[in-house]
Amino acid sequence: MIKKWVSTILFMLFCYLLQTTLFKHLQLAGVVPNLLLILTVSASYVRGQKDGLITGFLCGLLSDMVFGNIIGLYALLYMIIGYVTGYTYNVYLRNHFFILLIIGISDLLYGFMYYVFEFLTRGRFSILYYLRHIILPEAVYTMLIAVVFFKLFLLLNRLVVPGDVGEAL
Amino acid sequence: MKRRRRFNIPVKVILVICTVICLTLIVVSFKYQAQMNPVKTAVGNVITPMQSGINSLGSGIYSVFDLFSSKKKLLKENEQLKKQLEDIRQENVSLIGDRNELASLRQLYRLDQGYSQYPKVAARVVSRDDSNWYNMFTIDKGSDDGIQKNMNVIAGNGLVGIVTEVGKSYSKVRSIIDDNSYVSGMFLRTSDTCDVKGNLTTINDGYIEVERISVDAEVEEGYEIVTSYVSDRYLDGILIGYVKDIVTEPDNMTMTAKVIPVVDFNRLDTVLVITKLKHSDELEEMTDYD
Repeated sequence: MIKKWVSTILFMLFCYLLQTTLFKHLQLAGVVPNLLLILTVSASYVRGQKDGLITGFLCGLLSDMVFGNIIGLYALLYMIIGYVTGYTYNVYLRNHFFILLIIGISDLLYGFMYYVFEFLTRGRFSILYYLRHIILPEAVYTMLIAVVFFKLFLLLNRLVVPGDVGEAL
Repeated sequence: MKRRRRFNIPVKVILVICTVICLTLIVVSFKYQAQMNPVKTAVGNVITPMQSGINSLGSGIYSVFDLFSSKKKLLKENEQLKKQLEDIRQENVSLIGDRNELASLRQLYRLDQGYSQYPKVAARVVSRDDSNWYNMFTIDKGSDDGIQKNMNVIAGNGLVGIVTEVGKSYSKVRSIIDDNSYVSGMFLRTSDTCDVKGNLTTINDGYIEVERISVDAEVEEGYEIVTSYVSDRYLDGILIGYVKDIVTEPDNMTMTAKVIPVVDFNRLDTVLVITKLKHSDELEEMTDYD
């Protein structure tokens, strides 16, 4: 239990640090992938709703603490994403494409909510522009990177939670 | 499996608890923004050194791949020279500016001293905002180096942004192209004031918006926009960029335009923080937004 959460938090920090440092040099179409979201969705898919929810909460809180103005907003958003994607816990598929799709859809939703909270409330209405230049590229890039990070997460999971569902994947 | 499920709280209960925590945090941080700052600073103090480490590790590896280790010395020297060059370039630009305009614009251009004479601290850009939406970044100098909130940040010969948060050894900078950024500017040659607003949608095309230029202003394409006297937070006379596409608004009261920033925000790795605040005593109560 403790081992699982300590390792998850360390992995989260690792993702966050990469996202804010290394990936700014690896931008594609001017965006960086959302590694925290990959972690949240992976956690719910592999470990279930409860873990996804808590992981999402922690990821959002970290993001809020470091760069947000209002603390709690993204904790709530990531948490809901973790909870909702947790319904995929019962879907056993040997095909990883499914999880990538879920991550892509989650990132689209995340991007849309971000736009609503941060931009629409300030009277920026050109949603199509944001969709084309940020939300979509970010979702695609996140999906691509998820191929690697989901594998990493599975590896980590196999190390700390032997016998869990991650084994089957 | 059973063994690990000792504390089996239903997931719905956790959801409700966490939601309540989030909502409380939102309300608290919204109402008491200033009081929450120490918490954020504490987190920043932990995260930033790590980011710094990864960055130097990353650029270390990169330099090995890129130039082989024997050239490390050259890189270091290059970096120092770059810093120097940046200083000199900026001084040079302001000197040329001074020379060209002093004669005809002495009355309008009443700077006590050019901003090249302000005390400055050089800093490296450590990390950027985690989202793709804002243009904020972290630098590796903080309160230990004498940096305070609302200090102006420049690079090369132009304005980069303003310090919004300060930790022990890091600070956060909102750049002028950030969607939330707002700077009162003025035209260097005519002293007509205007507002320079960052905009995410336009910066991809290389410009940001200028609003509220008086219709009486006799401005032309290519004029320099600098920070204005009336700004509360920006020292005056710092070059923002060059204006283009001046359009009169339908209401015939104001004009809007585009300004091309002189700073290349895509390649920003060293910046200078001016360690002099404008009206340092009045700024305590100011929030992030003008």
